[in-house]
Amino acid sequence: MIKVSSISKIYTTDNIKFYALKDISLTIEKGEYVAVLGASGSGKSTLMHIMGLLDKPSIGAVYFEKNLTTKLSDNQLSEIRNKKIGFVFQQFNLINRLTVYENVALPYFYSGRKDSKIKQRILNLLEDLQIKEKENKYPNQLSGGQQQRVAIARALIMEPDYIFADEPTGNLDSKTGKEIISILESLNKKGKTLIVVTHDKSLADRAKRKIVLQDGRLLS
Amino acid sequence: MSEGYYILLVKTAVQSIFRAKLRSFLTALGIMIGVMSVVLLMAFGLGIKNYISDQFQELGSNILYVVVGKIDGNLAAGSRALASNFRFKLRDVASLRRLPEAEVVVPIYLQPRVKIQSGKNSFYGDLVLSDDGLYKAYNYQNFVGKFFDESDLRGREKVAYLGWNTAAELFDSPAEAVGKTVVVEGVRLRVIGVAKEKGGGSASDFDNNVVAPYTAFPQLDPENNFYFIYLRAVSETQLNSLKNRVIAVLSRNYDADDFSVIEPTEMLNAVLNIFSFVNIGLVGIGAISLVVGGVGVMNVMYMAVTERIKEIGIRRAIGAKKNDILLQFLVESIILSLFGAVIGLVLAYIVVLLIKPYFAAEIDLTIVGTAFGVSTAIGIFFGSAPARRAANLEPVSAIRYE
Ligand SMILES: Nc1ncnc2c1ncn2[C@@H]1O[C@H](COP(=O)(O)OP(=O)(O)O)[C@@H](O)[C@H]1O
Ligand SMILES: [Mg+2]
Repeated sequence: MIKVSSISKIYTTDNIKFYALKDISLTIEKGEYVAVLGASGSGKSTLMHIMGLLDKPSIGAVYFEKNLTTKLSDNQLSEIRNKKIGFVFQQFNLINRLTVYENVALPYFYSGRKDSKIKQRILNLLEDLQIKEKENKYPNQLSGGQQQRVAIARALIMEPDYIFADEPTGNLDSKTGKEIISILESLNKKGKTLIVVTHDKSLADRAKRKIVLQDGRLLS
Repeated sequence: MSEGYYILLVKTAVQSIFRAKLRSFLTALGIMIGVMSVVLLMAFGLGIKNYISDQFQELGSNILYVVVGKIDGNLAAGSRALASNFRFKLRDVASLRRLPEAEVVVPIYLQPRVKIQSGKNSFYGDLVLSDDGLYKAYNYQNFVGKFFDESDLRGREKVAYLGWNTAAELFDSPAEAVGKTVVVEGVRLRVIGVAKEKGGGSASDFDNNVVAPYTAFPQLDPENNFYFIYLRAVSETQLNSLKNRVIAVLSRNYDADDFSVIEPTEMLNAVLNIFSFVNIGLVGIGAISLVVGGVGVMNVMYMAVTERIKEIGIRRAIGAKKNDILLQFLVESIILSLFGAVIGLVLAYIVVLLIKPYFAAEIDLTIVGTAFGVSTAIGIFFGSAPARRAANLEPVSAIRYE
């Protein structure tokens, strides 16, 4: 469960306060499939970052599974992002000078864990996502759809409970986009909590719950 | 952390350095020059130190020199000592021989630049008159023949033992010298041996000597005119008490200004002290270039952090802790700095190889270790500010960075 309670995110430029998010409260239960909708600049990414513990609200409280996140240290937040949360971004955000395999292994390296089967797990994951033969390629040698599959593999390697996808199809053609969405939905069917940002209405309609943002406020 | 973590850490750092080849090379240049100068200075220091200790090692560590005149640790006073009119007598040697701590006592008479003649050939060298103990005291080694012995001394035999140059100048080949006659100060001496070449820059020119028993030259009265007495203690532990006893014995008859008792190892230390003082100054100059190199490393690391803000954000998003980011950039600055150190060491080593025939220089493990240690420290010291900046970036602003 991730819960935000009366949060606002305020940016101050030249002494002018700007509310990227204003007084938002919502709870996401484990296993849910949530679509976040809204125009560009409405605060979708900001909300995702706060719920994904990458960012902090200016006002209000964020709970991650009963923990008040302001009480957690930077190391503890990193650890939750590492083990409980997987991010998928619009621009894929792979590290270009690392191979596909290394990109997927990176969260494992940061986990401090030792898993003798890690190599096999990574290869299985790449296999499931149909990019096994790209194991030793670099991201810029792959198509957009393939890069997003690598990003999904990286998000899954630590077997997190929550997947945050911020416009995961935004840089893909519609056919590839549908493939990516169906991969994400299959993860939700296997029990993962899925939060997808999109401004594609037809995609959003597939989600069981919709959150609509407008100018930083929650519409529904 | 799994070992893959560290392998990737180093691999990533090396990759980043090689991606910006020119920039990395220019940065490493500062470290390279610094390491090279420090290593070279240390190499010269070590070379000179080893050279000096070899010289003294050859003489031994349980040795005392008794010389005429006053020498008080001031090296320049050496020339004053030679000018002194005071000389030791054979009975002084006899009383020193009675000391239980003294194993060997060898008196030496020296007449510098005498004419040594053999047939039409002549050569100007030093006439050394001594007893049979000189052979061991000076670590002579025979090229041909032998040194004179005790019976030659007692029998007042007119025999000569030639230094290498002396023999080479007077005869077609030093090997032919034995059995030939040389004339020195009007005395005809039969050559019984030639020493191997000593070489090097030793204070007394062993190679240009002609050595004879002091009993062979009564007209020069060497028995009342020794300028130098060589003593060897029974053991190193007895050296100090021998020194005190020698001073006590000689003080019974002479003024304190007439003679000096010197431990060669003390002289060695005095020389080394002067040298290490100079060396500290020179190493300081190298250190300045290392600091300049370090500032270069810092600049490049700040650039690297700025270039990789987005990457830092990605790493933070997938679970990297501040320390992971810190370590990543520290490893990179250490490797960058070590890269300079390796080139600097290789260049210094080449210089040492080239210069070795002419000048004492040596690189040992301590010097290599110092070079690596110092450059690692520079990498850490100058890399830590940029690395901390990277680690303290807000994850969200880093990942939003375009
Ligand atoms: N660091 C920042 N400083 C100032 N304004 C920001 C900053 N980050 C985001 N914003 C603003 O907050 C608003 C919401 O941004 P975002 O959450 O990215 O919107 P969305 O993802 O819905 O397009 C935008 O108007 C954006 O310009
Ligand atoms: Mg956005």
